[in-house]
Amino acid sequence: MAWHDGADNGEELPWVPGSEAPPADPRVLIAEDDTQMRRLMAEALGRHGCDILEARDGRELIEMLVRGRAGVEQVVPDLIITDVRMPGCTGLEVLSRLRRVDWATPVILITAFGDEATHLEARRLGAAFTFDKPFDLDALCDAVRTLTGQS
Amino acid sequence: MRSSPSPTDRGLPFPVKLARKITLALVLLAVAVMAGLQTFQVERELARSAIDMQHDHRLLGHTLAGSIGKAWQLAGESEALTLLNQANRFQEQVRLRWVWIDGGPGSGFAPLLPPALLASLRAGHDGSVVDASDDPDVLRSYTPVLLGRRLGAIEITEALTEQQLHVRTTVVGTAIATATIAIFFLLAAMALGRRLVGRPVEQLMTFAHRIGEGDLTARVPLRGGRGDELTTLAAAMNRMGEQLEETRSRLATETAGRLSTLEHLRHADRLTTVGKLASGVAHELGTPLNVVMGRAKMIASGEAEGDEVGECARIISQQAQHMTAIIRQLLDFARRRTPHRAPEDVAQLVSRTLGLLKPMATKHGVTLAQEVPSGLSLDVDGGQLQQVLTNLVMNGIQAMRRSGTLRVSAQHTRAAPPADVGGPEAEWVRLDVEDEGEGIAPEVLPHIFEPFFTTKDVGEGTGLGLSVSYGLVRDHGGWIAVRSQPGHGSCFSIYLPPGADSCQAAS
Repeated sequence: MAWHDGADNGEELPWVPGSEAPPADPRVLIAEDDTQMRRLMAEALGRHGCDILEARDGRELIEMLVRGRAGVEQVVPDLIITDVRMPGCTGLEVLSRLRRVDWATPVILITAFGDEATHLEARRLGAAFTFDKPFDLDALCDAVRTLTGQS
Repeated sequence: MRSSPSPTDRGLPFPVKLARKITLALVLLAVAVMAGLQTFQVERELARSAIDMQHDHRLLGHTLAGSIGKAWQLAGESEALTLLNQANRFQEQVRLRWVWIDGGPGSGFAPLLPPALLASLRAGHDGSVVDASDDPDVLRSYTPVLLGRRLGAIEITEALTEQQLHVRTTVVGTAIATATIAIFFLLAAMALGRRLVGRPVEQLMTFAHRIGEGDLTARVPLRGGRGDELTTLAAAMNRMGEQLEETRSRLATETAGRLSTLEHLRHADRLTTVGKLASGVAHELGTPLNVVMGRAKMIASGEAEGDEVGECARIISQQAQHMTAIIRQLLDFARRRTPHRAPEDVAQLVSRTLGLLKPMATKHGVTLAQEVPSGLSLDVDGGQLQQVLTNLVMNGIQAMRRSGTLRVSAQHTRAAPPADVGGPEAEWVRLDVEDEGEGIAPEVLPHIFEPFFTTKDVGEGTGLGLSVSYGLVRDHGGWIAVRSQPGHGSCFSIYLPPGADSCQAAS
């Protein structure tokens, strides 16, 4: 996957949470199985000055966080946006696996049409925000800005 | 009687035979014991009378020996022998005779005696022998007498007529007594056997037959007064009957309870399905709606510039089409029409379907193969079966990332329907759609027929194809089974009830 709208940061070491100097552009990792939806979010967030990395499903997301992927080193994003309903590994499973290894990266979960049980579970696992499809992209961008500390 | 095994025929021979066998054995045993006892008795009596006779002979022999010895000394040999002959003349019972033991000159009576007896006579002892060569048997006793230097003996011969008569009488008497007792015994045993064994066993068997035929209210009318094993058995069997009846009524209650629980579960299951369907619709429509909203907003706000505007509009249109397809399939799913059945040639239907899908298969590098016997006809809704086949073949083609062959075959087979269809094992027509694709993961396999379950990208499938197909095949009274080997391919089998024509074609 390629970085979107970002400068070539190949020489930089990945930022580790808690280290002194965060990079100027927040890195957002988006996991969504629908290509059009993924592209839409990537474009919108790219316009708001985020570096975007895309995963096609939950399994790929975990792989990128743990091992990196062919041609890409291990990724340490500032924020993860993940769809809940994906083949292979759901967004909730991703979230619970991250929490189990004490990974504090904020996570935004995207569900469909306000599934109460999913909302509760998301809150319990410590999701920063939960969005119901269809949602306003501006609201998502605001949430990303809040979580990454951009003005 | 053997030719027609009615219940009574089956019931009777056993106890009667058994009683007869037991009786016969007892009678034979009694006869044997009586015969043995009588034989022993007769032999003992014979032995005693022989001893008595020998005793008499010895007495007679010694008495005569004295007289003969004296006559010999006084009057010579001829006088002595005359004395002996005179004794013969006065009575008939015993015959007296003179014999020379050494068989020397003038004896004329060299006795052909057993050597042991001869030796005993030479030693001066008397002895006897039974001669069976005469009829009737005779007992010969010898008393040795020494005349001068020569050893002779008085031979006393007596017929054993009386003893033989006695034996014969005893044997006949015993036989008559034994026969009388045996007949009496036989009659008594048969009557008792029938009363004590035959009838109770017959009743027990009638009971067993009735229980076997499902009549659990049957009881054995044997009262416990006699206290024998059969009564105990009857009581045990009655208890068994009561318990069976109780168990059956309990089972009936439990089954009724279970059925009502099952009905509740089915209702709950329906509600769950509705819930799943709703959340599936929400998810399926939520995503394209979101894309449409986002792209529309980009155009409206002027964020999208130049070519991007066109691209956004194209995406909006594509997403709208996708949503339309979802809604149409959902409606198909909800408003499934009843199949309009008509005899349909399976080979023609399959080749029609594969013909339509050939361009898609070629694009994916997939060869379509058909192995359907000609003349196989089914009573189905052709359009619906074609829809099902199209779904399965398209799934197969999409599952094949590499080039390969997708095979559609049909055959008659015996199979037991799954639980949701129900029914015994029977004859079915099976249509197999076999691909060489990547297969289905075992954890996914149980869910593939659920509505909105899909492993494809959102644009590629609606998650309704398989569940619609399953519903259509169920409407035809059949079902779809699937087996898959991850990495090697999957095989979807459509089971349909064979039409009347195809049965004839098969036989």
